[in-house]
Amino acid sequence: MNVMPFKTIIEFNAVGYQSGEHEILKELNLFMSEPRIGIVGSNGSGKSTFLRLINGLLVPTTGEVWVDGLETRRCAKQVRDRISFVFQNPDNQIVLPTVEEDLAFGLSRSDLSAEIIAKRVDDVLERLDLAHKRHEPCHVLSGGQKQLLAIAGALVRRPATIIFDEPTTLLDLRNARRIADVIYSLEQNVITVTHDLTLLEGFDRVMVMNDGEVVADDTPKAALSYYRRLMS
Amino acid sequence: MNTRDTVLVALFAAFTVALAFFPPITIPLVGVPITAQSLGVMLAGAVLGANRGALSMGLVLALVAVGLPVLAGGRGGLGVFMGPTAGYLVGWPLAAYATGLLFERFSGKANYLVFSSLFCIVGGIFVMHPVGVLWLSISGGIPLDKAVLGTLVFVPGDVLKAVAAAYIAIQVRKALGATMGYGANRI
Amino acid sequence: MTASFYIHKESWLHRLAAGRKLFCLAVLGTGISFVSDLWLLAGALSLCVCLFPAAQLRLVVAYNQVRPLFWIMAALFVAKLFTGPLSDAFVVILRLCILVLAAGLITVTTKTSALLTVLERVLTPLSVFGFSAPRMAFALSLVIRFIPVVGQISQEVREAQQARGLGTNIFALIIPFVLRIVKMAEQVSQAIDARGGLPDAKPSPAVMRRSQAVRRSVSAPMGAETDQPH
Ligand SMILES: Nc1ncnc2c1ncn2[C@@H]1O[C@H](COP(=O)(O)OP(=O)(O)OP(=O)(O)O)[C@@H](O)[C@H]1O
Ligand SMILES: [Mg+2]
Repeated sequence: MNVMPFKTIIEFNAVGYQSGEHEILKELNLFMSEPRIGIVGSNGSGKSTFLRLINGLLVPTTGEVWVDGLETRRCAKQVRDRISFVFQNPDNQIVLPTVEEDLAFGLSRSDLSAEIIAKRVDDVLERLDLAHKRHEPCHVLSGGQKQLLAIAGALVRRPATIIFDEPTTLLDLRNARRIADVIYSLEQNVITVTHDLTLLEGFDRVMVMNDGEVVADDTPKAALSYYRRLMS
Repeated sequence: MNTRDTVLVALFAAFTVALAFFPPITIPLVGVPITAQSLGVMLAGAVLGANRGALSMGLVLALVAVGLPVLAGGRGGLGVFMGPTAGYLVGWPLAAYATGLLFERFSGKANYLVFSSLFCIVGGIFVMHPVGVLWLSISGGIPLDKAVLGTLVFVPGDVLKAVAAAYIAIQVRKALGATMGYGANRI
Repeated sequence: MTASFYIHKESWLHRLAAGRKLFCLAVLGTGISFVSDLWLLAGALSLCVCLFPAAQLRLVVAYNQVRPLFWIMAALFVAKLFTGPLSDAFVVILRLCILVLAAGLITVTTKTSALLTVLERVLTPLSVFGFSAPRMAFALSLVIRFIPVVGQISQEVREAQQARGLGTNIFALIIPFVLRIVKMAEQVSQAIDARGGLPDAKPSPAVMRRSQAVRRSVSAPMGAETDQPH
């Protein structure tokens, strides 16, 4: 599967995010280009907010987020073509009634011809082992299959980076492993928030968030042991 | 209509459909069992406002028209629009619109039960019933005054529903204003 | 909740284009209000009933169309008796039965997807409240997709409140239900934006393909029985 020619470079310049009086993220300065980046942190520490700032679903109240030289506030659409998002609950991101048409939805705004769209949908169904479900209504899929479909919906857009917000939280152990394998098999860059620390062991970089700040930013081994101490 | 509006319109339509499958529920204190679906109409107006509320009820009617059993009792299909009571159904978007318009215009007052009940009554009764009665009178070929008499039986129950919808609307608006960081009255 | 009222058979009525059928219904609906001859109406009614077997449907299907209206028609009949001659009462009931049967016949012989297509076509010239036809079609499929999800939420809310002994309390049930819907709308709309946003207001080739897919899909079951407890 061909992806964008170069991997994404993400830059946070003095990024802050406030909601009313509440300061959710404080002055973040970051540079991210590693293939696999993990983020851990306690509930409410601002992880989901952080992820949404990356692809312009939220825009910072102060500072700027740059993705490959595109500022998310001004170029949200181009940024989202480069970066796909997989949410925690697949039910909220499957938007059309059947598997096949839901996958095609992500390409409906593109200039691609119907044949190319069909081809891409075929490819991704094949790759994630969902081909036999293609005409099924989405609501009859199991939780694990729904999450695979959500990932397929991200992959079909052929992004350079995929963001995951707790992709395995709602899944049983086997499905969580399955999704983890899929994540490791991606040629895309991956940024994932998770509470499943074993998932992060093979990652290139792990950040620990606490109370709206990145309090550790290191190799998985070092960051995770810091996190375990923080939580104890 | 941005993405969020479109999704809210669609999800409220789905919500109204789901209410059709609610078991009968009761209003505390009064204790009368009611069917839940008609609450959806007033809530759509009260929570989404005039345009989005009317659109979401329009979507439900479209689903009825294309033959899906989305109404209370599993009814649906084009036949529903041919029956003598179809006016009450066609009145849904109009009622949601009227209720929504009042909630938008007088949003400062909408947190008082008296006013929000009034807004729901205007939509759910003063708009819905005339449309229903007119239709009943035309399709049933009965004089208007007799038709009005027929619809009056349902007014007390509908007043109760309107008050219940008003109370729900107030609580929902409060909760959303407080926890989700929306402008207090704009969802 | 069953998928739809459509009953699959191979008959000329099933094959007749949905648009034509709806056009006939509109003509019938307009025309019939000018007819008050009892014999003519009775003839039209028998014709409507006969069309059901002609579409390879059993007569009970025809009966099912009018059955929900039984009480309201009885009330109407009585009301008519007080306001005019007996024949008038029959005329009204006959007209209603004819229309309901004809409309019901269309519903059971026409695929939901075909009706959706007609609906989309009818709506194209009217862009209601800034809702273009492709947007409308998208919103409709969104509703169809989310009915089972919302049904699931409704069940979760009910179970939670039953556990607190508030299983029939309207406020305990509906307030959290609405709140979850609004919260979900937030996430769904973020997901749609993340996947490239709403379909264009004017149909692109891709959207056309998609809406054809929708048309094929709505004939698939939508709300599984398990999602909609009674
Ligand atoms: N729309 C909003 N309005 C106000 N506050 C919000 C909003 N969204 C999130 N918050 C607050 O921002 C903080 C961070 O939220 P966020 O969802 O980013 O946390 P998180 O790290 O993803 O938590 P979790 O592990 O529970 O998913 C929380 O305190 C939350 O209450
Ligand atoms: Mg989160």
